[in-house]
Amino acid sequence: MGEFAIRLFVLSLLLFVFGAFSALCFSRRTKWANVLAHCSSFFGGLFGATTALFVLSTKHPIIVTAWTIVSDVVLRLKVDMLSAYFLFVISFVTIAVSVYSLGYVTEYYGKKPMGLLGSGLNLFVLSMIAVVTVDHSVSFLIAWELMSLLSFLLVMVEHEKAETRKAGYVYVVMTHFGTVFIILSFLTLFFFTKHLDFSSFTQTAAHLPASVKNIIFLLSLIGFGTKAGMIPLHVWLPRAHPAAPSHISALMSAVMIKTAIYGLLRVNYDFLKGGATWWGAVVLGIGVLSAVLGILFGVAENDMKRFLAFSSAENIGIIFMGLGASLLFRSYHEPLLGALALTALLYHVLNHAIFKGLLFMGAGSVLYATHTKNINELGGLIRRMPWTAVLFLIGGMSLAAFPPLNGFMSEWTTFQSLLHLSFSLDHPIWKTVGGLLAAALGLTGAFVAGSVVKHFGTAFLALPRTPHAAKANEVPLAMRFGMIVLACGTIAFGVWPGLVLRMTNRITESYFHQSLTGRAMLYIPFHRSAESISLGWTTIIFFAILLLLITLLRVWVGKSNNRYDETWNCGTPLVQTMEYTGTSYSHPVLMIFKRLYGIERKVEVQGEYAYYPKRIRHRLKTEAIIETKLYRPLILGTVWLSQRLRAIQSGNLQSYLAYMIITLIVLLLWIR
Amino acid sequence: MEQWIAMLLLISAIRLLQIRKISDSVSILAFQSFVLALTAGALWYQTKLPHLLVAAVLTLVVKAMIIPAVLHYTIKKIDVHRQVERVTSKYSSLLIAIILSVAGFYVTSRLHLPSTKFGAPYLPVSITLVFLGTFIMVDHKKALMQGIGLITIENGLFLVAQAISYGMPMMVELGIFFDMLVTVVIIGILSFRIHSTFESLNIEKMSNLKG
Repeated sequence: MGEFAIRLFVLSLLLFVFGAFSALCFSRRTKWANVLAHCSSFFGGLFGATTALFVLSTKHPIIVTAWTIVSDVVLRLKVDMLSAYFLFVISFVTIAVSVYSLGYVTEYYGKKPMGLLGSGLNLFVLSMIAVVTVDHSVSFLIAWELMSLLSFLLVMVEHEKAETRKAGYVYVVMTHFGTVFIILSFLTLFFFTKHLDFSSFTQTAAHLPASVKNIIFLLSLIGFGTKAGMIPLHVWLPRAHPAAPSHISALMSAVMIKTAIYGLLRVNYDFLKGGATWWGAVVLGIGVLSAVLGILFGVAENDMKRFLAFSSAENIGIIFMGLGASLLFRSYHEPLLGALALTALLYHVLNHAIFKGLLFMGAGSVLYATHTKNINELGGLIRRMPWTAVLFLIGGMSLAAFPPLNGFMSEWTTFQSLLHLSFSLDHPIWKTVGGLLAAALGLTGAFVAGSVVKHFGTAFLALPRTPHAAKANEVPLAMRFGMIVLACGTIAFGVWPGLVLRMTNRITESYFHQSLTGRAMLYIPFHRSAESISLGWTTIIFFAILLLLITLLRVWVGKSNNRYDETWNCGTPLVQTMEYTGTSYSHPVLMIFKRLYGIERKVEVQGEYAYYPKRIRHRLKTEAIIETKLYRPLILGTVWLSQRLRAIQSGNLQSYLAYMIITLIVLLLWIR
Repeated sequence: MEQWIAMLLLISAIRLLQIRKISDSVSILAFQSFVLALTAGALWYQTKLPHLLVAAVLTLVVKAMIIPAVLHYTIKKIDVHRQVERVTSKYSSLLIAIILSVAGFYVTSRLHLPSTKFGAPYLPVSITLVFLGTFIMVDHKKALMQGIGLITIENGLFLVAQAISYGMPMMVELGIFFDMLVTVVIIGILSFRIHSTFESLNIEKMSNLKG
């Protein structure tokens, strides 16, 4: 049976390669290139997901040896349990994105080379699969770098816009900044274990001295954290995601940033096998910072895709909170709770991939239909695009952690593991911090719900604010279908958590020798029945309370008497511009956290008399405080240093030759 | 005997820093290459290794005849019989050359390089030649002199190879000779182009190209 899984996996890889090459070959024929590229990636994703499920259900890792690069560096793909789980996440999203792309890329017909676009998508997915499956640090770094570069190229599709070029530049700089730290962490591992392949790391790295383990942990946290988009290394997220074509940003935000989580798990669990207590504390701190700050920055955004990008930083924060809790429990030798936190984080990885993919596709559909991402120029789309509206709402509700959707399930599990920090750890600090963290997670959830209401309400409800919103049409069938796939996933993984737990249990078994058991359907099971949550019961109770309230109100107030009439309008005709905008919706939050946004507010009244203004101008300028306070000094410092260094580059041939001879003599004097 | 030949080489390299006209440098270079051919010939006489004879003959033909001829032709063509220009004065360049020679001898004595029986006396001089060649390139401002410095470096390296292991394998030797020839031709052409672009061979003007 293992043979079968290997064949399936190889077939899936070959399909991506085929998709990449055939799209290039047919680059002259736009339609063919589109269909070939995205059909191959669809089937590639399908087979990849099947392989992953197969490996997870049979518990037998599969190994495919592809190419001996040099005698010691072999390109070998090994799908063990952790890899299989991430392979499933990647493949599942790829399936939906491929279908969606079939429709979405028609936007680029005649404007962009379709062959390159389709081939780039296939290679990008292939590189991500390589990242989560290779078992050698050199081939891992090659795959990692390929993934970064390919995603950079895909971000730059609309390179004629100056904004996109800037975004691409920031992205490529940040991703290489992260890669440096990843390389350093692998080099440190190599230096102390004298091996480069992952299996040797797994065997020996756990016995390294504590200080070395600490260094490796910090290096990998910075390196992978940059890719994941943790705050304050998130600056590339809100730039690159809006700049990329929507199907690419769906892939990047849903899947690519998760490969960083894979890397962190691989290094800290598989190689180092956990470490000091402060590791968990650091990760928890970064997690809570990313979650709260990420969504606070997101609330202020009126650009749909920028908001979604900030919300990705927030969700990475939630995932990091799970990771931090899990590391903490591990260091306190609480395997069952550690397994719970690990499950929470893995579950959220899958869920975020699904609903964020769905939301980016929804934002892409809006962009496709109206050519704008600014919600203040939209409105009333629910009548023009009912399918997109409903699907976007499902994604948004899942993002805002509404039961019975999947976002709720994983956030609830994270919540539970955070509460266990205060309940189960016998340490006064954790007693306090655990509760505070749970409160912070709740605060985050509230802001997310607010932002979702803002974006859905402004873009889809009310009347169209501009002509292009009024003329929007429902998107093609392929795009709707792609979104439906993920919307089904959102519901299925929400009401059937047991499906995911069967997968995550394989991973918790291997790291904690614990698995979460219980009834699978509609339950988040746990070892004590009191702590399990039944979605069925929750929903019934929720609706029962709702019904009770309605009945009480009915008894109390009596039958409601409604009168339908025109809105009072101060005597002027009602126009669309009078509608409540997204900016006004989030304004109170902005005012509360004034300090954080660095708000500059200006109200200009034009007209003869102040009480009868002809025109009032209200300007609101926010500045990203992390960038001005943290990045600008760093950049200015680097530029200053570089300018000093430039003095040695005089452009004079003789001085260059003099450097050479001085180096030569010093070198000869140095060596003995 | 070997010491005397080595001294001749050293003096010729230092002499390259003292010249007044560019055209003088070509004849000094030809003389240096001739002495180099002599060393190879002497080594052949002492060891009877056939490829040393080939190297000697090639050095004589390529370095002592063809290359000076090409350089001479270039100088005639762009008409720079004028004075050389240096960064340092004549005497300070002599001082630096002597310091570099001392450094060369000191470095060689410290390095404990594996050397052959007959080649050992040439070793310090050969390393000094590399240093002096680089210094010629640094010191002179006229583009053609950079080429002459480069050939001096190459002469030094040739001698290092001889002193350490009686020369390099035949194929490598042939390759280097061919490279040298091509390099000199390119230097000739480039000097000509630089001269016609900047109306001068002064490489300091090339810093105008810096962005």
